[in-house]
This record gives sequence, C-alpha cells and structure tokens, in this order.
Amino acid sequence: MKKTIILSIGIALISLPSFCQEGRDIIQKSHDAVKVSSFEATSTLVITDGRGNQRVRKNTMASKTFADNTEKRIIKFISPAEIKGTGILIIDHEEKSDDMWIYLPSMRKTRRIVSSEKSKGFMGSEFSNADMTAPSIDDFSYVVLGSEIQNNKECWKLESVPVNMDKEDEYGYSKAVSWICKNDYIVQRTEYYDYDNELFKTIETQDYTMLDVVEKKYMITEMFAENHSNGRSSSMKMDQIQISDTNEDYFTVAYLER
Amino acid sequence: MENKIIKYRWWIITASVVITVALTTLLSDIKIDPDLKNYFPDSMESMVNTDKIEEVFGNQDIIMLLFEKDEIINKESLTRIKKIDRKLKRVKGIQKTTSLFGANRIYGKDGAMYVEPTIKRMPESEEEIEEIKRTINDNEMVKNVVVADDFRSTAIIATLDKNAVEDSVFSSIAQILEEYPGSEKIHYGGLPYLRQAIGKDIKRDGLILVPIALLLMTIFLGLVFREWRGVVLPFLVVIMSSILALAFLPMIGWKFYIITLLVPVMLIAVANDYGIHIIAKYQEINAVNSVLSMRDISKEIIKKLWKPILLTGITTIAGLCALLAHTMIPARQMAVIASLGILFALFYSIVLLPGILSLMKRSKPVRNLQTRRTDSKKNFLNRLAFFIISYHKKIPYASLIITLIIGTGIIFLKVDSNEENFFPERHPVKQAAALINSHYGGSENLSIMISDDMLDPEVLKRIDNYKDQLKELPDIDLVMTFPDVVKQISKALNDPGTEFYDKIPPTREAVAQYIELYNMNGDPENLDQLVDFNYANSHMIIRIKSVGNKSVNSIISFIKKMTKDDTSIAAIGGYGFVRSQLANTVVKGQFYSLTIALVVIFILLSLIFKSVKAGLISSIPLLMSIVLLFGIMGLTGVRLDVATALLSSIMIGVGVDYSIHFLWRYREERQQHRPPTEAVITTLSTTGRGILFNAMSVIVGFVVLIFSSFTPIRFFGVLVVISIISCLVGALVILPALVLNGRYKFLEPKTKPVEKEDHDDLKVAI
Repeated sequence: MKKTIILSIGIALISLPSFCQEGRDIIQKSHDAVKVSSFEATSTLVITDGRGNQRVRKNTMASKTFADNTEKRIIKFISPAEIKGTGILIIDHEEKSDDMWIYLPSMRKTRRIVSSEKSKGFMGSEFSNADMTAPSIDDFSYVVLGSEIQNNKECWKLESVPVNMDKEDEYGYSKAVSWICKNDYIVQRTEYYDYDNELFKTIETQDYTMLDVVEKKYMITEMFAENHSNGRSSSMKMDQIQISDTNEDYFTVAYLER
Repeated sequence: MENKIIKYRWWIITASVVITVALTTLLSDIKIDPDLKNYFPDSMESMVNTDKIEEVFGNQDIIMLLFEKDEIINKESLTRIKKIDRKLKRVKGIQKTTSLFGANRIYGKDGAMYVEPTIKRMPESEEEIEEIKRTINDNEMVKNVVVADDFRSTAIIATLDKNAVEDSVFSSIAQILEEYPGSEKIHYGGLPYLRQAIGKDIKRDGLILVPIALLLMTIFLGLVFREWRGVVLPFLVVIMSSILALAFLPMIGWKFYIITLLVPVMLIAVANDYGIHIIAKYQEINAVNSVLSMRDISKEIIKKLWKPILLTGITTIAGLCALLAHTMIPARQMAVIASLGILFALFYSIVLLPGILSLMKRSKPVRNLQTRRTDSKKNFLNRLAFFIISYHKKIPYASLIITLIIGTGIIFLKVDSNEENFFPERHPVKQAAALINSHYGGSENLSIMISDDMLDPEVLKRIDNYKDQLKELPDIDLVMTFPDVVKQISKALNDPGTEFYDKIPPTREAVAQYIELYNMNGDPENLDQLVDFNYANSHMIIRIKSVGNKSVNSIISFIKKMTKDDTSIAAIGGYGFVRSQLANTVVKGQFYSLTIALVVIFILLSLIFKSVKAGLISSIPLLMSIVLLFGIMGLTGVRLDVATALLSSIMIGVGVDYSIHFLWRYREERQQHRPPTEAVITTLSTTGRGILFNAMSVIVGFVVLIFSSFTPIRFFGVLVVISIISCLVGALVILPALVLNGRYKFLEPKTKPVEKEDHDDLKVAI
C-alpha cells in the first residue's frame, strides 16, 4: 500500500514537468499561429457599460515584426471626431519593456509613455494591454486541464498561472483558463480569475481567418470581452485586414505626427 | 370586573405563559441595523440626492486603514504596508485599494510621461527617504489622501464591492494584519468600520445592560418590599412585557437600532411601576386587615387600583406616542414598541398579578406599615410636608428663579448627528477620526453631481472655479473633481512653465484626447468615481472635517448660493449632508414631539380631573423639568443627538404620573373635607411614599445606561435621572405649594364641609 502511494507520487512528480512542458508547447504554438510578420487593418472597438451606453472607436492599425523579433505597431483613431488623429506607436521588445509614444493632434504634441502596467485596459476597454499582445511565455506556469469542445472545436483546456505575485500584480489576475483549438491552436475562449479566485472576465474569439495560407498564420477578426464584476463589455472587430509589407518609416514618431 | 378576573384567573395565567414562551423564540430573529442612514425616511432631500448620485457613481463605501508611526517613511514600515496592501487587494469583497503603492503618480519628465506608483522601490538611505517625501509633497492625488503631510501616518483605502459582506471583509483584514505584525499603530476609519463598531457595541450593550438593570431592579424591589413575591411578581411583568414588545420587532420586520436599546431598559424602569403599586397595595391591606382572604384582597386591589394605574399608563403611552411625530424612524418604532410593552405591562399588572396573588397564601405583614402613621415626625416625607407648608408662598418663586437661571443654558445647546460621537473619547473610532480629521481631509463627505458636457473646457473651468471657492472655506481641506484629472494630465504632457501646464486645455478635442490618454495609461477606475461613462455627469467630492452641524449647514448653504444660477447642478448630496439634515430633523422632531406630548398630556389631565386648570397646574412641573433639562444640557455641553432628543418625550410620559398620583390623592383627601394643609401632609406621607418608590425604581432602571458603550446612551442615563428627580420635586414640592397657595375648583369638595377642629392639631404638629 505504502509503496503504491510513493510510486504514484513519484509518477506525479515525473509527469508534472512534462505536463508543464506540454502546456508550454501548446501556448507557444498558439502564439506562433497568430504571429503575422506584417499586416494592416482597420477595426472598430465598441465599449459598452453596464447600462447599455456605448463608446465606438474606429482606428487603423499597422504592425510589423522585425528580424530581432521586435514588433512595432502604429494605431491611429479615425473616429469619433474629437479624438480623430490621435495616434499610438508601440515598440514591443523581445527582452525589455515596451516603448510607447502617443500623439495628441489637438495639442500637436507627442509624448513617450513610461508605464509598467499591463493590466490596464486597452483604450479604456475591457481588453487589457496584455490581451492585445502575446504575453511573455516565461511569466506563467501552465497546466493542461484536459480536452473540451468549445465553439464546436476540439480544444485543449489550459490553465496559466503567473509565476509570482509581482507578475500577478502586473497582469492583474491570479489565473487564466484558455480553450485552445487542437487543430489550429487558436485560443477560442479565455476565462480570467481575480485575486480571490473568482471569475471576473471572459474573452471570446468570435471569428478568425487564415491570413497566410502558406505559413498557416491566422488573424482573430472578432473578439468579445465581458467583465463580470462591473457589467461592462467590449467588442473588437476587424473591418478590413491584409498582409502588407508596411514601410519601416511608418513606425516612427515622425509618421505618428503626420 | 374584579370578579371576572378572579373567575378566569387560570385561563389568564395559562394564556400568558403560552404566549410569552412562544414569542421568546422570535427574539433570536431580531436583526441589528447599525447604519445611521436608515434612521431617516428616503424622502429627505439629502437622501434623495445621495441616492441619485449613487445611482450614477455607485456606493463609495471605503474602509481606511491607517498606519501610524513617528516616522512612517522607512523601509521596514513601507515593506510591511506594501505586503498588507497586496494581500488586501486579494480579499473577497474589496474591489480595489488605494495606497502609496498604487499607480497614482502621473508626471512628465524629459519629454516623457510616466505612470508609476509613488513608491517604486523601498528607500535604503536618508536621501531616498527625502526624495520620496518630495515626491509626495508634489502630488496632490497622494498628499493628505493616502499619506499625512507630517509623514507620521499613511493609509490604505479599500473600496468595497457593492455586495461585500462587511463582517467577512473585516475578519480577513484582521487576519492579514496578524500575518504581518509590526510596530506601527493601526487605526480604522470609514463608514463600514463605524457600522461594524456600532453593531458590535449594540450587541455588547444588550447583553450587559439588560441583566444589570434586572439585577439592580431585583435588589431594589427586595429592599423595598422585603418579601419574595414583591420581587418576583413585578419582575414577571417586566420580563413578559419586554419579551412581547421586542418579539414585535421581527414580527413586523423592524430592526434593532442603537436607540432600541432604550426599550428593554425603559420597560424595566417603567413597566414595573404598575406591579409595584399592586404589591404596595397588597402589603397595605395585608398589614391592616387580618380577616380578608387572598381572593378578597386581590379583588380589592383590582377595584382600588385599576383606574389610577390605567390612567398613569395611558399618560406614559401618550408621551411616548408623541415620538410618532418624529422624522427619525427608530424614534417612531421605539414609540410603538415601548408603548406596546407598557400596554402589556398594564394588562399583566391589572389582570395577571392579582390572579396570581389570589392563588397564593397571605404572607407575614410588613411591620412598619402597621405603625407608619403614628411616628410621623421622623418620616422624611412628613418633614417635607411641614417644610412645604411653612414656605409655600416662597417655593413657586424660588423654583421659577432657579429654573430660569439654569434655563439660560438652552442658548448653548448644540446638536450633533455624527456617529463618531457615539463613542467615548478614548475609543479607537474617535482616535482614528481625530487623525482623519487632522490629516486626511476629514471624515465627512459632501457630493455635488453636475450634469453637462464634461469634455467642454468651459464646463471644466466652472467646476474648477467651484473647487477654488470651496477650498477657501476653513473647514474644507480636500476637494476632488474631474478637472483635477485633466489638469494632472496637462502636467504630465506639458513642461512646467509652458502655456498649457497645469491648465484645462482650450478645446473640446484636447480634453477628449487628454482623457483618452488617461484611459490608456492611468487608472480608469479612478475616473469612474469622478465622471460617468458618457462624460455627461461629473462628481465633485468634498471632504469636510467633522466640525459640527452648524458649519456643515453653512457649507451647504454656501454651495447652494454659489451654484444658484447653474442649471447643470443635478444634485447636492453626500453623507455629510445626510448627517446635517439628520441633526436638523432631530431638532425639529424634538420640538414637534415635545409640543404634542405636552398638549396631549394637558388634554388628558384636563379630562381626568374634568378641569382645564388641572391640566395647567399639572403641566407646570413638566415644563420646569424640560427647561431645566435643556438648560443643564447646554451648560454641561451634552449635545442633543439621536438618543438624548428622545428624552423629553419619555420624561413627560413618565414624569406626569407623579403629578397625577399627587393630585388624585389630594383631591380624595379634600373630598373628605380635610383642610388643605392636612390633605398635603396625608397625601405626601401615603401616596408620596408610592411616588417616591415609583421614581426611585425608574431611576434604578435607567441608571444602568451609564454603563453603555455609547456616549449618547450614557448621557441619556444621566439626564433621565436628573429629569425624573426634577419631575419628582415638581410633584412633591412645587405642586403641593401651588395647591396651598390657591383654591382650585376641581380639587375642592363637592359637598358642604363638616366643621372640624383640625387647625390645632396641625399647629401642634408643626
């Protein structure tokens, strides 16, 4: 009897790292599946509060990944009128923290923003800045919880837990559970749990297309975030999207101000 | 009537026992409500407005945790507080925390905008400590909000979820503090804590005061009656009527408030009076008549006493019911519950007690009752009677002068509705409140909601201007507005000395873009407090020091005057406003209930004695007691608050009994053609004894209130003793002097007097 217990603990200990490894592999593949080296898009962000009031923001966006794995993104608002022309330039470094510049057309002013907060909402929406970029894989430990059907697709059910309290604070949650399609590795749905381990946010992938048939790269074109604690929700929809080798000059402060 | 009661005594006893036992089970369902806001109807202006503001901006209940140390900016303390802050964020029911470690620092430097916590790294050296202090002094969103400018304390402010369970939040906080011990002194602040403290102390008071009151009453009854039935029977009446009255609370869904504590104590003090009269009468008959059976004695007691007992009971209920005119909900509830209790006590005293007595055997007569009349000169009441007869001309004037002198204190009378003052000076709640008042902008909140286009620079400038005007007022330290956030961004975005630094930008577009910038980088949740989702409403939060009702009233009228022509002002509310209106209502309620009580008592007395003059002269002791009461409160600085405001109505209801008893007996004596002086002597030495016992039992019952945790209840205890004594003096000294000074038709004999030579006896006696 005693032996079996020791044996099963032994097996558990041995199998644990492989579990983690498996989870890590899945998340790596899922990150890779949406890594498009260069694209342009126009999108609509709709933020709805608990009472049904809406803020609608339209913007254009271009993104490019460079040889050193640095991703640069530029976003410009098209509407509403009072913020038209407001632009953001983000340089997402592989190893160090991101650089960000913001241009306010009304004041003809660009400012570099230095902030460590990743849990903050993206443009005041329910999507956090971290949701908009792929987080560092090493910031979490992963456990595969099993297989489930989600959005009519066979999925891995994967749990990601920040490796320490600092990371918890940085990302703003204590646990995330994701459903990742076994076939194309696209995240179908993620549930976020707050510090007292209660579900507070769900992000659902509502639509995605294959952008690059050769490399099998996908782009999520519609997603929906719901905040269960304050009743707010946000949806993001790509109205147009294309792979395009955007000129490097686009990703500069000078272009931001144009 | 007496025959029927004795005939059905078994039915009465059985029914009483069954009902009492059945209702006892309900007592455990009583719910405590420590929230002062529920004391007043929702229709009050400040409540309506506060609800309106909360509708848009949510309930802003916060718990403040203050860490105090001579020098709080040090590595060890800050490390502890950071750890605690982090754990607090993880407590269920806490939505977010604001502290030195939150991202509340937005500033510009070298062409970049920084968003970071005030304290990024723990200070290692003196220079780093000084650097942190400089940073704090520069940041208006932090200084005197989460850290005191003398650097002797810092706060973690926890905002609660809408449906947070406060009890469990507090126990989690206590656990976390235990987990991270340290040398900093910890204080709590905020309304949830206040409610918590009040709720806890209500329970403690209920568990301590009621047993002490019962114990004192037992001792008192034992000393007075010197036989066990004299203790047990009145006691039984008190217990049964209290249970019935309190069981009414859960039955109709009412809650137990601080002042509901007064109900059981009041019943202990007042409800046994009727039982006391029954026992006193029994002892009187038992002492002088050795032939009657218990059955006959009981019948005789009912016959003699049901009328005066019923009358005094009704006047007490009438005084209490005047509280129904009060706006304060618990006051009205107390009026109903206590009146019910007294009604039950009346019923039990007149019906149940004689029923039980008739089943008992006769006890040994009390000795001094048999011999009382003969050694009259040794008796205190007799000596009092002779004193009154000697000075009956001077007594009314002397009383009037004393009353007027003490009555001048009324001009110093203050009103108070701050729950912090429920607690004695040394209580942690008061200590924390002192700290919050001196270094965190004060613990009272006022809110102004403004409905307009919040992206319009002109609107923002207007709000900013309001803020400037308000900050000029001496009692306002902290005003938080939406334009503050816009200006904060302008400081991060523009270099000092440039045109737009620390300014509201010139165009609507610019405001919108500033806010967009803040939404991307700052804490949008901070913004939620100050502006709504559509930028159509904004919220101005004003913190005031708790300086008393007068200055809050003047701030409110200042705000109303300042915003008179501004149609965008949607609501002026906030808890500070609610409190100040509460205080105003307490005064108004006091005035109404007092007037009604006096009028009702006057009418009742006029009816009882079938004379308006009777109503007038028996109201005199009451009027004097009221003037004395308020005068003493003014002179000693005891404030009129939710509890002490109830005092006068209760006093009138209870105190009038002594006048009734006196006049009733005096009239009886006069009807038998005794001359006034002799009638006074007889009344004082017989009924006077009953009145004295009655008043003493009321004092003994109420005196336990000085052991309460709540200052207003303690003061209530002291003041009720003073008022009962003044009513007693009114009935036993001033009233006799008055009836000796004039002849009142309602007291005079209706038949022709039979001549008797009493005067000589009297002269001998004097």
